[in-house]
Amino acid sequence: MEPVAIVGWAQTRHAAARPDANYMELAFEVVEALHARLGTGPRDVDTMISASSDFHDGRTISNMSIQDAIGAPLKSESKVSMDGAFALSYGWARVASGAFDTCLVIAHAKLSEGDQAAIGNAAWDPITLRPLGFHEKAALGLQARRWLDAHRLPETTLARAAAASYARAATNPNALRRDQPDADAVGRSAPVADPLTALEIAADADGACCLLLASRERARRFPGPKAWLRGVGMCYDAHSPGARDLADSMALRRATAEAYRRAGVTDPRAQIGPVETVDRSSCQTLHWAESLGLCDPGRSLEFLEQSEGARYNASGGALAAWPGFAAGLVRVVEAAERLAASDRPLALAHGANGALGQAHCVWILGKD
Amino acid sequence: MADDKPLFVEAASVLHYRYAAGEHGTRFLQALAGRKILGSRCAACGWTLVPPRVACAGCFRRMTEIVEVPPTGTLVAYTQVTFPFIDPFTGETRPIPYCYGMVRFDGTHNTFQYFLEEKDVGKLRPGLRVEAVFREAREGAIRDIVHFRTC
Amino acid sequence: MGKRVAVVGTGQTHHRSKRPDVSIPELVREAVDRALENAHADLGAVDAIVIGNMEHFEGIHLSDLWPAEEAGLWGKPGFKVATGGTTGSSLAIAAYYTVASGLYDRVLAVGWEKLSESAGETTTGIVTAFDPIYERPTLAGAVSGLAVMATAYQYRHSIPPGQAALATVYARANAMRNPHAHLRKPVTVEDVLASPMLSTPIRLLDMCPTSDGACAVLFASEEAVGRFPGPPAWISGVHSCHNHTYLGDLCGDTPVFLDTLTTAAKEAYRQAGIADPRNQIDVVEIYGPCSWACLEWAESLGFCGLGEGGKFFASGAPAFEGDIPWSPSGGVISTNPIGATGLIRVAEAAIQVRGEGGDRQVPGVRTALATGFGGSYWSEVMILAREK
Repeated sequence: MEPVAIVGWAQTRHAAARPDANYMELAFEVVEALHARLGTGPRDVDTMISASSDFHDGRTISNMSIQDAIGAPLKSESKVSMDGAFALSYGWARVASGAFDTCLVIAHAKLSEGDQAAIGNAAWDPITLRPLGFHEKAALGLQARRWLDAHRLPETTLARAAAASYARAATNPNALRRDQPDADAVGRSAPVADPLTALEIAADADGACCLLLASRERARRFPGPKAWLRGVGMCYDAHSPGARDLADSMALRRATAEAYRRAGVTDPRAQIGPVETVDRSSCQTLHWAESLGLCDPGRSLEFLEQSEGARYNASGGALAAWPGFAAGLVRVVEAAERLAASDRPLALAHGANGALGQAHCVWILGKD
Repeated sequence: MADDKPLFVEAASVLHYRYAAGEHGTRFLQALAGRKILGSRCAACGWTLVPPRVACAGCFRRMTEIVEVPPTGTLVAYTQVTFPFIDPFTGETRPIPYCYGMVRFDGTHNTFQYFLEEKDVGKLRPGLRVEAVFREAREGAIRDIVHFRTC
Repeated sequence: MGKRVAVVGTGQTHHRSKRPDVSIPELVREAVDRALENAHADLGAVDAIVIGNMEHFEGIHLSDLWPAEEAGLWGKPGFKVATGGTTGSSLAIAAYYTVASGLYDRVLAVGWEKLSESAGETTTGIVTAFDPIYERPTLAGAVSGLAVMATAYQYRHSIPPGQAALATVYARANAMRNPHAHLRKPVTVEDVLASPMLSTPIRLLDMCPTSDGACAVLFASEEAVGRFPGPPAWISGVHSCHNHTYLGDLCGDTPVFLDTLTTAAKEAYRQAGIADPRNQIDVVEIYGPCSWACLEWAESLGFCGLGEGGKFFASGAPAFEGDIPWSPSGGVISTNPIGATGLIRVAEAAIQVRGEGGDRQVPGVRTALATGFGGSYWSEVMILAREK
């Protein structure tokens, strides 16, 4: 895979609501910060790929609202309408193709502005599932129950996993949930979709994130710490919850295998340092870790709670802040940020589309 | 198929959104209540743009200067809408016909899209001088401007 | 530079006002099946898939997921691209860059829309693309935005309405040769001028319809092209160009008649080594959403001078028998399943280069141009050629 570097990044402090900023202002905040950090401007950006959702934004053509903020006038921009990790794939391809030397990848969402229950319902097939009132959080509940049963684990597993994520989030200034609820507090939070309680489900947030990609040649002109994109894998699964065993994520395993193959990862537990996943529930925090091969099936809580697992979702993951499609790009930034200080050569960032992970994207980042 | 008639599933999905006007939108709307029209001026290129917004796209700089612009301007382009459609704000048919156009406020460098008072599209032309008309009772919403009347 | 890329297969549905006989996934499957058939291949020959539509029209969030299996995505990599009117061309461009990058050798682009299932009219959905405070109160969808542009264009260049109507006359005549086209009924200039006014000066017959339809196009790298028996259509130039968010910012002294198309085309021409587009391009498939736009876009593309779009159409040059046939498929004015529309332009350009046009085949095509349009007047350009 053609090496392309992430030479800079910026993200907002993800908030429950940002009534002070419209989409243009939110996007400008991170792009302005990126350019300030790098000493660059729009002249240094050859092309842009954005990630946002028409449904979350309440706006058909959701990238139209940010054009001026990202320096798009009279330049080539496109939009991946999925979790930002997938947008990174397209951004990488634009640079790796040789057509552009630099690419800004940006993602935004303001979940506070929409009716998330209605949006979460609109994500499912309109013939058989939507009429039942099914929504994304219900799907998370179904999956969590199935996963617990498959591994014969108690419900407290989910509360303990969430508590472990929140302990990590406490040190992340950009996370939303930073008050460190313990497993008891998590278990006692409002029930949402059995067996999941509110604190076991990712926190909806308003936020934005961007990063700048540079070709191998161009990357030399950037002084700071860089993370190199070494491998990617993407894979789609069935959409219908009933079409698969929710405790088994074929698509994540295939995406992981492809990413590992491209990046030359043969021993993930030894080669990979920071790992960041888009976990929409604390069940997924655990399930994804197993699917990535970071620990044995059914042993993920142990992994998470021990020092070996400290590098997993050190940011708190999406559980601590889920700014819609920006979440996957935030994971890339969090992984890139921690890579330089890691004792291992590689980092992993994961994104997923659909509450059950109906599509997964896995990125492997390498040190400078 | 045993029966040739295709079936449909009706979904009346009602999506409500609360769009933040944002820093600049909030100032603009609040100023309308006071019969003022605001724009933002770029410290680098000097361009004044209505409505005010966070960034001057040409310079890619944060626009920090907020200025008041006169209510008068020049009509640059326009149309008269004569076909019925459902307005996403109300869920009902928008009343037609109506004229709207792109107005360049005096001293500014872009155009502002809004309703025109004129009902006869034959009387409109690029270059026409127009003036914003404010509602008597204003509440800090875009409709505080009724329309632009021909001067 | 990256790998060379070619189109090795295309497929599309027979576009209609309504397809009550198929669900969205089934509609998508039709186009995918036809593209694979055209490429003499099966799903095993596809390494990745890019798919897109405009979500709010059918009211489906994460709209790549429901038709994923029928699109061939189960167990495969891919992603969704959604950019409004340009979605179809954006899909082609995304597939192009993905193959050119070396990430995947064979990428299928799939665009679709089932506008008949839209709760409100299409105009309602399009209005929500724009700013809720400053633009939605006045905007009447794509029609009024194009009408504002046309009013200024007409005033500036004194174009008689009959000349704009010619673009529709040619389009509908062309659609008669294309079994996939939606509106297949010829019209005269008088018919256009007698049709109801939508938003001055755009009348009903000046404007594109809304359609149900899907399109799929298979792109392959130069290494993989040999595995497909049909003639490849090589991509020789690609670019896209965006602009400001607010329509009000696009009006200078007069609304600019698509400077994004001029910019995108200039770069694509440069890549393709085209110095004289009017004579070096054999056929064009242009995303002209209305008749007036066709006149404006002809100028933006450099096929005639500024203000001469009307004369260009009146000269007969863009007719099917002319020297630069304009949208022999019938164009957007005859067929418009929005998420697919831009991709159909690329498919039809490829069909012309590959000599598969049947009744709508323009003789001796070596170079074809396809464009996409949408958003705050964004433009996308792809040039396809018989020679590598």
